[in-house]
Amino acid sequence: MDTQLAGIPASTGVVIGPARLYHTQVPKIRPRTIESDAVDLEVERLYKAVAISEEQIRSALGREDTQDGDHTVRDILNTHLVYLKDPMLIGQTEQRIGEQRESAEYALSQVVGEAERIFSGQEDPRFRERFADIQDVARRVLGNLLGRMTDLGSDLSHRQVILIAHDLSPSDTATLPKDRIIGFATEVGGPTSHTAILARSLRIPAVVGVTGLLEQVADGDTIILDGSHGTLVLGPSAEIRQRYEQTGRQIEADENRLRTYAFLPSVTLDGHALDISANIELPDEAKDVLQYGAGGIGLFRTEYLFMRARSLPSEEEQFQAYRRVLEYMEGRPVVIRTMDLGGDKFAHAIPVPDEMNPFMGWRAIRFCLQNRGLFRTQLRAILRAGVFGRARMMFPLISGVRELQEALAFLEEVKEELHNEKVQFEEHMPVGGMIELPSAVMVAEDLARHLDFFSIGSNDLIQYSLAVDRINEKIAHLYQPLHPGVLRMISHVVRVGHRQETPVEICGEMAANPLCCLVLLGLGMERFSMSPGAIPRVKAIVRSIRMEQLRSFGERILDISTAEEVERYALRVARRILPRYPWDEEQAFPVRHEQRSHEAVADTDLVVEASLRR
Amino acid sequence: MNEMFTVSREVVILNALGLHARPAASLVEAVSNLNCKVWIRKDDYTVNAKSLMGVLTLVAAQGTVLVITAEGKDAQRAVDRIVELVDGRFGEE
Repeated sequence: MDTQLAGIPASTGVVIGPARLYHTQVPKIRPRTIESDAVDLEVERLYKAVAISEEQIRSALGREDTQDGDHTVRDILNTHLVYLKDPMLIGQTEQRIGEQRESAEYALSQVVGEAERIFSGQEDPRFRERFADIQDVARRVLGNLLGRMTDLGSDLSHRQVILIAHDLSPSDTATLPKDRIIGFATEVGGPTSHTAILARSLRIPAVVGVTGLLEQVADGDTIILDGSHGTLVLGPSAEIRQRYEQTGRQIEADENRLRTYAFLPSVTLDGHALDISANIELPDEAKDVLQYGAGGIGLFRTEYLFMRARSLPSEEEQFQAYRRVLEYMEGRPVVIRTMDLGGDKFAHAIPVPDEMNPFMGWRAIRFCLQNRGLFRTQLRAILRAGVFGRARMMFPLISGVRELQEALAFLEEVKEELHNEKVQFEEHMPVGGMIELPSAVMVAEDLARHLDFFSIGSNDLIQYSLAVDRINEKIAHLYQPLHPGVLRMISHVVRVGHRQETPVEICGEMAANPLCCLVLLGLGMERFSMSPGAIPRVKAIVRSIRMEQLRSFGERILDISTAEEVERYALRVARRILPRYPWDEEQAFPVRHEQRSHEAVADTDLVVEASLRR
Repeated sequence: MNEMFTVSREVVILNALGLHARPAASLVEAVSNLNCKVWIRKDDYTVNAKSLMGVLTLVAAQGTVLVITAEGKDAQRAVDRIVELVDGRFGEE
């Protein structure tokens, strides 16, 4: 019987393979007491296990693949070494062995349990996360006490596996033999969790946030992982398996076919050239961006540099990262957005108190303007890197002119500093602002006087203007990119841009949706930035249409008063313009997936995948 | 005078981010090789200042009052080092 589990899509692609469970939680240890004359021996056992653990960590530190540029892995492993000597963690364990005559395993698990109670009571999530390090170290020591393998690296057979875990921390993944993992699935986490980011950068399909995963999957089970739709199929029947295998092959074949579009210019049949750029999260993604046919990078989300590292990346580290991206892009434009931390994106090194309303809280430019030290370091790094390519700087979450002026004044201050220090930097770097708050839309005219370009962040603009948290499934259906309120705002920004000669780009997920993309073209949008994988398909569409076909379309769409009618009308036009495209299956609101039953998802999606590739 | 002496000081956490991972690590590092015992107390909870795990469990945010107590040969030095770190906002703005 096929069992389907639904999670959150974290990295696209379909894989089929054996499951390999990785237990990241401290194993349950039975209480065991020892004789009083065995205390010394038990303490010795503890320290032997600690010594073996230390050796394992030191050898991981010596390996080449832990020498990566952002120091993340090294920082973590070094922290683990500190914990192996911790008077509370190890000292109290020793004390319990002597005083309570507990076995080393039980004493250690009790000390860790105590710490877990303290940490889980903390309000600040960063303090709670600190517990992960202690758990990692304890798991390693316990494993060595029990004579079990703790290093996943030495534990895996040579088969390629789909890794199943509660959650994966950077220290877990640091020691993973990545060439043997074909997919990731975790019980917790969201699209920005460590596993999700890692999987995307390795181009391995992943599904996160799968409730009850570890209870349903056993080691060696054959499972299908669909990272594009966030589903897992356990014990697939031959028929389902065949269908997915076929889908997998089609996706691959189709990606290859669509790739041929990657290298063609993004020009409509009637000669309108459009800008199609890529969104990236990590510097090394820039390497692949050109293969997908991106004309540049429309959004470099720098916050991931901060989210990955345990300590704050220094000016030099940031400078190197930005410079690397600019050099990969060989003179093509790169929009570097200053850190958009807060909301659902947090950095280990920057604790932020829990908020009732994080998306309306201390985040992005607001956070930066109150943490001038951090902001200065980033601005300096961007300005300095600017001499190595065509860099643009962009500020997130601008709410009005005052805030923008404050950021711009600070930027001038930083330039002055660099100037006085006689440090080389790009003095005339264009500066843009994200238009993602309704207030910014309404004052776009005023903002344009201070900015070189606009970038509409459609994800946030939709969320803020419709007041819909799309993670909340009860209201996810209200997250409507084609809501007339949203479209009229976008249209307003485009018109202001034309009037003020301020280029307008759109960089949300909306740009990558073929139907929404046609609507945006109708509204006069000419610059799009999207995840690299979506570029070939959008290019294929752009190269098959005439702008003149969309001229009256955009005008009429603005008169429609419901999202449903907009979608129906847009679909009608889309079918007329591109009759061969499988529009019947195309949805403007991808979140509707979640409203259908799992069974239905599998069926329709297979059809979509199949027909798309025709 | 007793050879063993005890030094105690009250400090207030000044840096905006509080005693999070990095400051906690630098505090532990500053005293761990000194020849003395060091404790930090917040309200009625006391931890060993040479334990990173202990210092983190203090969860000392900006404005938190902590009492440092050191005992042993290097007691004065231990307290001085911690006070210097705390007053210097752990090198943060």
